Amino acid sequence: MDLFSSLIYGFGLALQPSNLLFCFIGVFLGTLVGVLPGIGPVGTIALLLPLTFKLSPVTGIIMLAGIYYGSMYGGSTTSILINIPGETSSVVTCLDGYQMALRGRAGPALGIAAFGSFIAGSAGLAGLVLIANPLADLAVKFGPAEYFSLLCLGLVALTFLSQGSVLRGLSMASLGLFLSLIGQDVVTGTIRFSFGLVRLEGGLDLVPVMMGLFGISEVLLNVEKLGDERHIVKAEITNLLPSKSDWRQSAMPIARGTILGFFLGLLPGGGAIMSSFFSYTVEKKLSRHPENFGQGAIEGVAGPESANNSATSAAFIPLFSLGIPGTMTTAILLGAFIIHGVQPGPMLLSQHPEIFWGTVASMYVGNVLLLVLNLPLIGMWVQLLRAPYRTLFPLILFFCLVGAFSGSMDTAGIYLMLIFGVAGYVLRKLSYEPAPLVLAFVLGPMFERNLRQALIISDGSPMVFLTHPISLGALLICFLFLLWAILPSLRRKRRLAMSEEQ
Amino acid sequence: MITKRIRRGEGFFWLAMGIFIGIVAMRTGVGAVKEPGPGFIALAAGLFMAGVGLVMILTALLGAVSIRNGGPLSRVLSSISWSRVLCTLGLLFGYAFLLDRLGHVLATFLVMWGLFYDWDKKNPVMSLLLSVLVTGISYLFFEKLLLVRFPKGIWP
Repeated sequence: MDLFSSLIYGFGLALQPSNLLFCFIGVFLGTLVGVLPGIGPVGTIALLLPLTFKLSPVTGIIMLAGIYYGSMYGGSTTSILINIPGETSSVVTCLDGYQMALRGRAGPALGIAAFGSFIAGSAGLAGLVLIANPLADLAVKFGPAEYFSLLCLGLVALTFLSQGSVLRGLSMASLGLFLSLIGQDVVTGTIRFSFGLVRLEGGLDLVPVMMGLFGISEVLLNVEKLGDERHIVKAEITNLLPSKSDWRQSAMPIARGTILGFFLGLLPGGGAIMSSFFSYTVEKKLSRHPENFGQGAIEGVAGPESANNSATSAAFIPLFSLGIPGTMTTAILLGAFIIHGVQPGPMLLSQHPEIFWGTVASMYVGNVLLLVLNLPLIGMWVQLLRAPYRTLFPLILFFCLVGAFSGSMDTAGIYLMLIFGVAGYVLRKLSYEPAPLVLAFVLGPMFERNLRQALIISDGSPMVFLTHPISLGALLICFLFLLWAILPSLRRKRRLAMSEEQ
Repeated sequence: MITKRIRRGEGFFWLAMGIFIGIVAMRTGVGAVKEPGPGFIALAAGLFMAGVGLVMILTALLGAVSIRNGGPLSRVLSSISWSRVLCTLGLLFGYAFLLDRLGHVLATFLVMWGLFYDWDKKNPVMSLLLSVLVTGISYLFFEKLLLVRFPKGIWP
């Protein structure tokens, strides 16, 4: 099929009533979790994953993807109206968005955020369609050595770029890798690391682990803050359509944010957060009035919001073409694909074209739905922001409990989720990010399979990783990341020693 | 910014954990490099973890860590609202315990009542109403519509 026929085929699937309904549910829930500070797309996808078991793979993936990109839209609303980012990628939007709202320009801020997101999201999808196919063709030639090195790169890059200490991230990643090995060895059939517990012989289920580490721990952290009031901008929100002057000021930031976001979104570990920060920095540097940034400059909203949406679309490219997730949310989507019996990667387009084209087309449809949800219905989201967290958190916890039970139809799933919930809470309190652990947990089986295959094929020679150019390149970048992480400590140590001598 | 003591403690934890994983992996069977066994990757993960632990200890011992009074642990412990967190956790573990014994409907009702209860205002009526509502909707949606087979327990 050529590109045009494939897109028509995809739209045929995406516009089927059931897929359209679940696309709407996905983007609606995505906007909802984006608007509500406290639970993000990772937790929500983990939470709703069991509900998709009864759906066809394409419908389930359409809904889960909708949550991901929908949350990027919704995140800006809270940043602009209450100065609390609904999503980490909307942190930068607080700087100028909230200032615009305080000056009575909440409408144009919300409007340009929604339009910028729509334009960038659509452009990012065009890039996805154009790049994913050739990349998948190239990836067919990859062997276990290339895959192993690319997986290493994804893991190290995400660890390096996630919040907090790199050493802590690396320790979490190695723990995640070990946890993924619990259960039966696929090569020899040996039961390993079950410590005599029958429940562990089948391995740890992904859903309770994710729901515990993200959903439960997130709620526990928020429960501590019950009673803290949110200050919502009280002025009436009018003029959602930006003026000509607003458009003139925002056009180039939207274009730059789209391009920047797309290329950063392609990188492992890059994603929406990094792209929005980069876009803000670029806009401030290029502006003739950098002093206006932080005081309500519309460019400070348009650029980052476009960048994070473009990055979200681009993040699907390594997932679809290589089967390697570059971000935490795509790692969980990879888990969802596997649970639905679909292996993303170079063969996805030939073996499951309905998944690829159906999801891509649904993302176009979803972007239009999001524009409708985020502009005319903005009043509804504002009302929702006024709902007390005290009423919301029992419902979130209840969905977690039901989700953990329905995955295995056994209370052991609930216990497993709660154990990981407590662990996630303690770790986050100690500034340990759960993202590297979960990414390593998801990638662990692929990591092991490719390493073992590469070593068996090469008759035990580790040179196999250095003689293949792509593998060598990926490992070199890994090495640079690790060196970069260690060097500041060495520099600090030397400086400290010198100052003590003086 | 973290204290040397905390970083050293973390380092020893990861070192011990890495050694433990390494030992367990070797017992499982590491195999050879040209034919890796089921414990091969786990051994690598354990060694890597132990290595990270060692780097943490060394950075703490050599003074490569920023030092300040009162590390995060004391701040973390004092900032936690223990009663709320422990109550919530108690109710969640209680749900797992009660689900098989009382059944989905009764366990959901009791746990939701506890979770909705406002400990500051101490108004049980609102939490009662909300828990009845959630239990009713959950029963209709999950048991009747989606036909999820929850334990019946003592619920008729």
